[in-house]
Amino acid sequence: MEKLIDIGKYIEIGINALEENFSDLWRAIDNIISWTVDSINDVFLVIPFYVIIILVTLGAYYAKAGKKSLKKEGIKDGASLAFFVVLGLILVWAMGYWEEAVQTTTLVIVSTFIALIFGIPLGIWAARSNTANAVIRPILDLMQTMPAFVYLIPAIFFFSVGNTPGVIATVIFSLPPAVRLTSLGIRNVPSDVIEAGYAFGATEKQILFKIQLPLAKTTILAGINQVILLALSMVVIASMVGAKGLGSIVYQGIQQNNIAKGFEAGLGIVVLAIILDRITQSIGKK
Amino acid sequence: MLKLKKIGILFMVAVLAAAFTSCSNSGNKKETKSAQKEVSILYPNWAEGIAFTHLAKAALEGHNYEVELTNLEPGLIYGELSKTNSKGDVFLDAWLPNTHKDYWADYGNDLVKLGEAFSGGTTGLVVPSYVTINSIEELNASKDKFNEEIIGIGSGAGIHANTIKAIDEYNLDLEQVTSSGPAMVASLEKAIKNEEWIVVTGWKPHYMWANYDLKYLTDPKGVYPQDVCAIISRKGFDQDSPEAAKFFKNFNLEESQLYDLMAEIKASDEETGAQKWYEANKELVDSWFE
Repeated sequence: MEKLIDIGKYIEIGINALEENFSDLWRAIDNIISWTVDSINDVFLVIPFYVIIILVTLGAYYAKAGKKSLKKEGIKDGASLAFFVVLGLILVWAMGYWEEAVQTTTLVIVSTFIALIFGIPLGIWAARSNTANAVIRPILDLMQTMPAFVYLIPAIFFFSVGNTPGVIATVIFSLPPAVRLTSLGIRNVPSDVIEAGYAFGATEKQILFKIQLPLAKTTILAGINQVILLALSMVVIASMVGAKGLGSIVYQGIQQNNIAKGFEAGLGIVVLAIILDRITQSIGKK
Repeated sequence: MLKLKKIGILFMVAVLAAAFTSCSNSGNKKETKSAQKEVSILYPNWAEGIAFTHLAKAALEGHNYEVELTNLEPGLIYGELSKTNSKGDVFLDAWLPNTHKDYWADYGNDLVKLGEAFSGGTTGLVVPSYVTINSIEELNASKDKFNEEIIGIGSGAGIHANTIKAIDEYNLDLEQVTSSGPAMVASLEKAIKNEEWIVVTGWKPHYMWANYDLKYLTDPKGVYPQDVCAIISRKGFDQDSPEAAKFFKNFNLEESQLYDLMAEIKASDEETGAQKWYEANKELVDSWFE
């Protein structure tokens, strides 16, 4: 079929122009993200693996058991999670993929952090203004329905290969739930509570920080949990553009038709996903 | 909220402590690092490319280089190396001048050919050596013995297109069966086990040549091209790292050496296998630096 409109060509022209006119900006972003990812990796890889396993286990246990950490019911709550975390991380280390697992976790941390810096304020804005909501919503729909692989193409173009295009594509892919759930949480705060706040003479700022955000906290944390899990799935795909970590092992497994390799790295990702999910969920329930 | 803060503080303390220990550890490492040279190699997932790349890594690390490997699709490798601020330096498995001629047409102006990792990259129709014919022109006369089939690989491969061309130019009454690399090798193995006649689309370098007694059918019309596995770099790499560039200029493996290296990698893994082979052939590999 003959093309009637050549949308792809115009997008390419636009992206070319962006790349040329702001090349210093892209380079600066690239340097900042590369430096951050490398530094966090260096710190994590200097700490002996068993120290990290102990810290993560204690953190997971405390997140799950909370104030009851030293009481019987707390131990009942947290023990199974702590047990899983220890076994899972030891498995990852024993399979020989500790370094890759650390690299993957770092990418998830950095991407999630950037996604939240943009996502939560946008969510607050979308909750407080109907116009903003009407504009942001379709953009989020587009971001979530566009196949994730597509983001990799312009990302390489702006930031060449490596961890940076992976982080950028991951941020785009994992941002929507942060915006959506923040906005949903704030919109679901009962209006009589807000009115009571106004009646007592609260300022806009106080309404937001003392009433809306605390009451929306559970929903916002559910959003953060979603962002982390989406980021984890995307950093695997990002290996196609040179991002490091467990994803690159999976990618090699696919290309070399190597079942053992692909499965081991996949198992490592499952362990990371379950740990990240359970810890963030436990924090959200408090 | 308080709980989050506590976890945050704990985490910060841990990170700070770690950063502190890492600084005291890496103090001496940093000093050597400033004197250390870095090379970034981009490589696709092809058996011979994996072998070249990991051998180069082992050798360069032996000469105090820090080597970074990034695994990418060939198109991305060509695109990256042609950029002015490329993050990669070298690619050791460019099939030139034929198989990758489209990539070379797009990006070749911004690339430099340093050397050849392997000089005999060939493709063609391959038969076990007990098959008594020697030329593609003789295929029709024995087509029944071959079940009127040529066992091919994936339809995206250059060799697949060239075989269609060969069938046309030699007027062959055989059909190309599209399968995959591993399936082609499996068919070959099975036929050799039963001493049956078979013709497959094959190429060098490939481990099947090390495992079986095979031969190419001669190609008098020159349908199947000859290539080399070229070593290409970004522009300016030879000025930035003259010593490493010299190593890549001299880097060249004979067929038997390459199969030996590939077998070593197959027996363990890329890193260990290449390291082992490097240590066993140190004199040869280190001579490439001089």
